[in-house]
Amino acid sequence: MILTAKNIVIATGGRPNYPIGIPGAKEHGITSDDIFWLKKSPGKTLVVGASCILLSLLDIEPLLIKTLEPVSKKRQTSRQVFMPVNLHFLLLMKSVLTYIKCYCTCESREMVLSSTRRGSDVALECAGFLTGIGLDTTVMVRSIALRGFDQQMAGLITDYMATYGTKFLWKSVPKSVDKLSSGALQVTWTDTRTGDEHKDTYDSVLWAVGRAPETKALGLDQLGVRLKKETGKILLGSDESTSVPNIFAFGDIGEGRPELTPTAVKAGKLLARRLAGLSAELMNYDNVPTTVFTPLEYACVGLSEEDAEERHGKDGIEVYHAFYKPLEFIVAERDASQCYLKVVCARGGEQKILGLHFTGPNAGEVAQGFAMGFQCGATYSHLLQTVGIHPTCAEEVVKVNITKRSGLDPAVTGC
Amino acid sequence: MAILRQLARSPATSCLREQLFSSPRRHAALTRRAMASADPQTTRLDFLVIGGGSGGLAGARRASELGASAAVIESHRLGGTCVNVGCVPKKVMWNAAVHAEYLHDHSDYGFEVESVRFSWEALKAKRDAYISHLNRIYRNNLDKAKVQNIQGHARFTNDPEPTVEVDGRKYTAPHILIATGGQPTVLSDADIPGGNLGITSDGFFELETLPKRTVIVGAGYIAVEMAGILSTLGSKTSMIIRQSGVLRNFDSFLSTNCTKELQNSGVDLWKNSQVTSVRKTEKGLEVTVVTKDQEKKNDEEKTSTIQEVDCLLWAIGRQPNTSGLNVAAMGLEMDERGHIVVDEFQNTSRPGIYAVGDVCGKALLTPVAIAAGRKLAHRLFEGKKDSKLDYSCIPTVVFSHPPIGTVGLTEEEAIRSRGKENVKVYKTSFTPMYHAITSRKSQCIMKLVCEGKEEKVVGLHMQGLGCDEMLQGFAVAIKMGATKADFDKTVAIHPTSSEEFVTMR
Repeated sequence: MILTAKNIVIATGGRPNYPIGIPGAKEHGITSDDIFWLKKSPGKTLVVGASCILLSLLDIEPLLIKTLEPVSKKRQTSRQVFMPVNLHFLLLMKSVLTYIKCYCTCESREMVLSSTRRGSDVALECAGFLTGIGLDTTVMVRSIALRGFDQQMAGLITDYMATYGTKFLWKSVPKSVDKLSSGALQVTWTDTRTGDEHKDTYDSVLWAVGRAPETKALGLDQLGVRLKKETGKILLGSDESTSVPNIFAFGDIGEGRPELTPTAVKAGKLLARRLAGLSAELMNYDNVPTTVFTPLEYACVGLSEEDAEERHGKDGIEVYHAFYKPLEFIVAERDASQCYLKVVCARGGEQKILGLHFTGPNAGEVAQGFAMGFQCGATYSHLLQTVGIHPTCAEEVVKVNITKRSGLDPAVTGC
Repeated sequence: MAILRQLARSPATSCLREQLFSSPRRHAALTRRAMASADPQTTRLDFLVIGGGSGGLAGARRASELGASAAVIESHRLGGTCVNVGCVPKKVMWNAAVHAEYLHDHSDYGFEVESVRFSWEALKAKRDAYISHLNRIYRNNLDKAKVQNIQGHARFTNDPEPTVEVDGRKYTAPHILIATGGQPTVLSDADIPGGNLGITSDGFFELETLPKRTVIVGAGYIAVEMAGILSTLGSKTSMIIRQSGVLRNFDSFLSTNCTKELQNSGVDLWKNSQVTSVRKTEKGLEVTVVTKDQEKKNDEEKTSTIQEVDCLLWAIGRQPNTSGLNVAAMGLEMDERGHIVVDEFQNTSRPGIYAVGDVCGKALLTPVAIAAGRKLAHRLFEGKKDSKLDYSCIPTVVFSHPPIGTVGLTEEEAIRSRGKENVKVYKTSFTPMYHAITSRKSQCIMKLVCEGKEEKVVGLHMQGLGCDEMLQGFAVAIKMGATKADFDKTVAIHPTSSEEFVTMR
């Protein structure tokens, strides 16, 4: 069937990559697309890459149960979290499947249909929830975690995960994956710091090493649509136009665009309005808030401290920060040393907020309102003028008063 | 030296001794003042604070940081209502109740949980330990801030200069702050026979075990929170309210929804009812309730009794703490309920005497008292003549199940002040994703009240999972004057519940 149109819009998104040059990677490893296809629990898992992944909730199948009692009893000794129960993986997945199918057939909100995320975060999210349900999980990182995010915050996230049982292999690159006669996978990797080679066996290897756009089958090169050579993504103008008139693209397939559902949704709606001649409004890709749903959630909007320093100079910014302790953690005697927030402001004058970063329970829910304030040009004094809500974690943002520059202890000490 | 030694030995000035040796500058100043005072027994300070709760401590500490010599008089424990019988222990109990709620969802999430037992005693022990820990922190904070902590009950004397007496010792200052807070309204037997057989929220925090059968009287946020906690932790709970809904001063959207959620969660709600008497029996309390039947629209009343009640909790309001203070000696203006009347700068009717917090009766919230106390300190000791708290757009959360968040005007208030044609309302309700796979459900409802052509957001109201942490950021934006368009321009964070606010149509 041949279709023609006045305007064609490409929104085919991306797919996870398999690594190149690692024997056994494709045959024996899975990607995030596959995680819900598994017919049995992934078991002891190696997640490779803390810098890119896709998690799609489409097309999941029911799973068979594997009780995790032997694993969970071992877990109990290593940390405080209880696991004296049987986790019925199948029942959990079945429930998730039912929900998805229901929403898909009801043509409900777009959020269900695709859960593409910016690279850097979902590898840690997967590792986080796999650890949380009692599986022996390791993350192998080539260089740094959460590339593109504020690195101090990234460190807090991975520290928290490490405290709660996720293992990390830093500065390591995989060499090969072999399947043993037992069915287990043996992974050989190199520690790039020492050059030493290591081996270990896993039940599953999950590749989270980047995403590539789906452009091959489209034949874009024949049309002359310009792509970025390194990533294969389509080069776009600020109005989502490609190098060919009347062909537009948006979402994950756009070069330099955040790989987030809400930005794709918004960009698509604005494009539709422009094409219909109803508006000239362009998508604003600045000030996009985002949340990483790792066991300790991290939400942010605006610039990382590093980016702010680069743009304004170290003397041109003032960073207010605080380590706080959520009340939920206190009675349960949980370690809260990574619950932290910082507000990066322009120094002097009104102290406009350049970036806001928050780790803690419910960071996603906390951040949306602040993202709004940020959108409106909030300054540090706006935060101080807002009365706190007590007792919550969010109030700590409007109470923050210790600067990094002062060198004073940023731990919150009660009202 | 002789005089110094005498001062050091005297028990009345033992706190002075701490100050004397803690700072050379203040040491000299205090010695001079103590010696210069007409009555050597009256300690003179720059700032005297009556009440060591949220408002008092914040004001005193800030004043001290700005160079004033300050003292806080507290008759009970530092931290006041918030730390000891309010926000903090309440939130611990709420968190416990949230755990109890989640237990119902465990099997839906794939966890097979055998019978779970709950120990009120274990929880209370942990809660009490944490509060004691906070009391100590507050004490340390005062010491670090070089603020004197005077234990005892304060009372204004009839001296010509405003003077406060505590256990026979006198204190005076050109600036005195009353931050004595409030207490739950208690019913006497004269009001309702057997009324004193019930407890208040203060008593709730002394309960040693989970009551089997609870009756809560009241429809305000404290009643709602107490009912939620007790019911969710397993006490069979009834709530007696005089009219047809709870939280009647909140936006009707919230009032209606909260009333519904309470009933859905299993609280036995008695509308249009009042308790007329309480009697003690062998098996517990017998509470007599009279209900007006609204359907019949006559004065017909039905009388019923609730039997075997082991906890009757009056949550019918709070009153200011001024008894025993002898405020009359200062001639301060009070309202009909006994609150101290203050202007926008926290000045009372007598120059040199101020009041903040619950004792003033406006916006009974910890952060408000803290902010007002600090603003006052800056005005008095940093010369910032215009330093005052803006009482508009104060966000507040009710820790119900699920929690409520609200800031700004209700729809009704907006219509009354701006006219219906100038008010536009956006609403939504949905089931949060958390409940996608649970058999138990709760709704999330959200409302924006906008005014004028540019649709400035003057009110935001919500109830649902996560609303307690969601509100703070929106409060910043609303305080800045955000419009509906600003909300729409903000990109959503996905997947959360909060994103629904920036995608409303």
